[in-house]
Amino acid sequence: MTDPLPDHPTRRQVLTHAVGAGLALPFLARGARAADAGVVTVYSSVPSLYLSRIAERVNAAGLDVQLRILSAGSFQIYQRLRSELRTGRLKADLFQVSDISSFVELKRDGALMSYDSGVYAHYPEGHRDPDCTWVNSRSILNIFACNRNEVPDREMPRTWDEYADSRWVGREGNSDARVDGGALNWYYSLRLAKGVGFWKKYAKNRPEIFRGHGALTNRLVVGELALCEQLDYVAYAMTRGADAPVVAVYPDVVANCMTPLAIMKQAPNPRGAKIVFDWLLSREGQVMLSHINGTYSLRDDVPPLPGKPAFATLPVVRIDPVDYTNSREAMQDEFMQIFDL
Amino acid sequence: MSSCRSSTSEMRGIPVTRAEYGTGTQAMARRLGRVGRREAPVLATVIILFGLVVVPVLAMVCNSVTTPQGGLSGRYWAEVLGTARYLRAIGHTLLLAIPATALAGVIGLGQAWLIVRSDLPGKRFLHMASIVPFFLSPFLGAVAWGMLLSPHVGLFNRLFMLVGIGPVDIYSSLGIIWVTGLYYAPYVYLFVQSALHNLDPSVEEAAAISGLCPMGTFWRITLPLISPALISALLLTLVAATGQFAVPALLGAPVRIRTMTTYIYDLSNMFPPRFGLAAVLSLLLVVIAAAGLVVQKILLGGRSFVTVSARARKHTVVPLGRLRLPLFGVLMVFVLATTVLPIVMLFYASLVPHYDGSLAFHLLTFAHYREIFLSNHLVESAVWNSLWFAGISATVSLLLAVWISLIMNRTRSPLRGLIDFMVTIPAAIPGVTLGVALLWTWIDVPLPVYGTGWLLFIGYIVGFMPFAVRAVSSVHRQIDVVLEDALRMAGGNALQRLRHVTLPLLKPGIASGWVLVFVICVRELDVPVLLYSPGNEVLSVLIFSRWEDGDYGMLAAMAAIQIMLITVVLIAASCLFRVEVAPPTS
Repeated sequence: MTDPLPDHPTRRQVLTHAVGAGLALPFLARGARAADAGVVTVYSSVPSLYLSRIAERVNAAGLDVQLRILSAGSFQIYQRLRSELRTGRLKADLFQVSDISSFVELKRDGALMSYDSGVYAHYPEGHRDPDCTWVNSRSILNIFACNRNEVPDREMPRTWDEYADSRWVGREGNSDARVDGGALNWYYSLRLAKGVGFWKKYAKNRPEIFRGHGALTNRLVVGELALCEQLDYVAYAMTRGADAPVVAVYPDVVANCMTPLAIMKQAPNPRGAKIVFDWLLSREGQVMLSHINGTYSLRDDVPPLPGKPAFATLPVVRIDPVDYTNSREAMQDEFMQIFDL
Repeated sequence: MSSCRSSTSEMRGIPVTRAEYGTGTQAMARRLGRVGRREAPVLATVIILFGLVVVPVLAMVCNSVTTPQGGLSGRYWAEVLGTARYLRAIGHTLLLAIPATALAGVIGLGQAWLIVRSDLPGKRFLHMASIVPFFLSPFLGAVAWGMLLSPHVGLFNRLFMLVGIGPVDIYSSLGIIWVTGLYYAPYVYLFVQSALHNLDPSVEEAAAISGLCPMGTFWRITLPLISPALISALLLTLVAATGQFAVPALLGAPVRIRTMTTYIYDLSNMFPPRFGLAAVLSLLLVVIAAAGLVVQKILLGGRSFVTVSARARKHTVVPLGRLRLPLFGVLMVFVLATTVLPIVMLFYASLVPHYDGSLAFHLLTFAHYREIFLSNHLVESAVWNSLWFAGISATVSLLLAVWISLIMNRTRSPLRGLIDFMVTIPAAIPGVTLGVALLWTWIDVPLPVYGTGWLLFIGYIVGFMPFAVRAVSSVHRQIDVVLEDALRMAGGNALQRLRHVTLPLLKPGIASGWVLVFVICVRELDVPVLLYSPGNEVLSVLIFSRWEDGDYGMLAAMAAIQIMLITVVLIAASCLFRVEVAPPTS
């Protein structure tokens, strides 16, 4: 049994092979790209919108490293990191999430590298670890934001108690403290400042609960929500670039959520990790990060962003990182109970 | 000994010649060796499927009954079954899935009957438009419907309010049911239209001769005859709707309508994670889905799939009379409103700087596309990754599917039932559950899989292999074994039979299966959102990230690219390979 000899290829066969070759191209291109050297991986809770831009800048800065990113919610990222540490299969060189408790635990477990970098001297006490395992790479504040089309200036709340007033029933929203590090920090800080009664009163307004601040923002901008808890940099980005009808309100107390950056002790590429760590925390890196992200830099030689109040003038709630770490699970459960989730 | 041999042969139905028997234990050993050699590839398949499919399920079971300290405990089961919020989530899941299934049934059945049996004009267009939602991600559907039916700014709501109706709130149970029903209607449509095509027209003709009117024929003859296909479609839709994550996550979670899948996702993603509770909810979902599939199997059990017939089937077209044009208009408006407009909204949102609910055509810009193609390498790399993973996963799935189909349809191995069962399991596992189960399994496996693209690849293979197997197997079952026997008698060996007979005849199934798996991999969110790793981001994951970031402009631009990618593949497949792209219905 033999195959018949092939005739001249038909137009269909030519087209078929051309499409086949077209489909193969991405595979070949991918193979060619796979030869990157000096790859540094950062696990971060900075939204991918900003993190991808930051990575572009790092990769263009001539540091001789290629920064790869994994962006997700603080707890999602931390959980992944813990699983990798447990199984000895760590993929992350750098770790950066908006949840100080993760760093307290990782340091306690000896998972962070102590790296005596020159950048530490530029950061104030409380924003760097005395044992040189982490530095606060950005500060984000929990404030609230209003849609100016929905809330006239004279009716705009100015304090958290006014924010929790019953006239806003069904018109408010906030992010979910079970999965969002910034939201848990906010919950803990306001609980310290105002007591659990504040939360019980606010929860009666049945605010909409979102996984993160992004989706919340969109609902605020289109006017489906009149006001919502918000991160200062998100509100800043809305008014700076997109000219959205959003007003940021810095109330009577604000929760400061640090986003520390640390090098993992078992980092697959420690040399590259140190290079990126130093650059991101340098003046150049911090100016870039605060401009792209709209966040506060606590580094002493970084000028504040135009149109934002100076960090030092704000009524920031100070928290004890260890107590915060120890009460994290109880806070999450309490949040779940109070908000009926 | 002799009786033992003969009973084995009879049981398996393998013809045994006298020469094969030989004598004594040597012959027995030879025979066992031969059987062993013959069964070895089948056994290898069972082992691979066990590792890929069953082990993750076992990991889920383990997580549901072990504490973080490693001890056995039933506390997670007790907590789920004894806590109001989880019981409410189970109730919500069913209360959303059942009406959504009913809605999908009404839409799918109506569309199928009108398109297959009536004299409606524009049937080709209507057929294509009816199956379009299948190729779009329900997540994107929910985003688009959020834009159309937002209570304050939704386009439809503005129109409704002009005539004094509404507003309709998409962020509600009704909204979830509406979007889910729309996106699963193609399942029902495809099953039913296939059954209507295959229906023997003589039965309906006899009913008409006996004096039954067209509606009477439909209710008393057609509907009972297509009921197995309809019920199967409804059960599969129910299973899929029960495991749906994206739609309730987008439209329900903010207003506290929480389903089992949104709890599974949240419980797995908080820290410390509540894996035990997530595992229990996952297993309960699997039980619900498995029950649906078992019922479907029972209903399909006695059906023959051989469709080769000497008699040509020409169905009588039911004239709609004066209702023809009005019904055509209604169907066109429905299709445009539910299929075309959501896509148009996504394209519009991708072309304005910031979507705020208003229509501002003077602001149209390509800024988001410029950002994607000129300055955001992550998105560019995600496009290539999507093509790469979808292409390689579809190819490997189809290779596996052909192999499994050969075992199922051309051997008498006693392990066939087990293979069939294992191939069906992923169909009963919701995507988000499957992702979690694979993550738990592979993180502990001492192979370089976790944290690499391999895990995503495995997720795609395991999750969508059932589609590939069904696409190939449904064609395989229609091929008469006589054709292969003819080549066997002419001296052709197994490879030659495969190359010259089986594969050429399977080509339509392979092509449509490849396209189907490719498209599903490109649009899929539930599996990759949990399994991707840095450097392996795919488009659907970035789209979800943009939703979390609240960046609807970029989200819409990426969605538009995804839709265009899928469209190009479908058109290419249809033009070049004459692939009739539709999910397998058997």
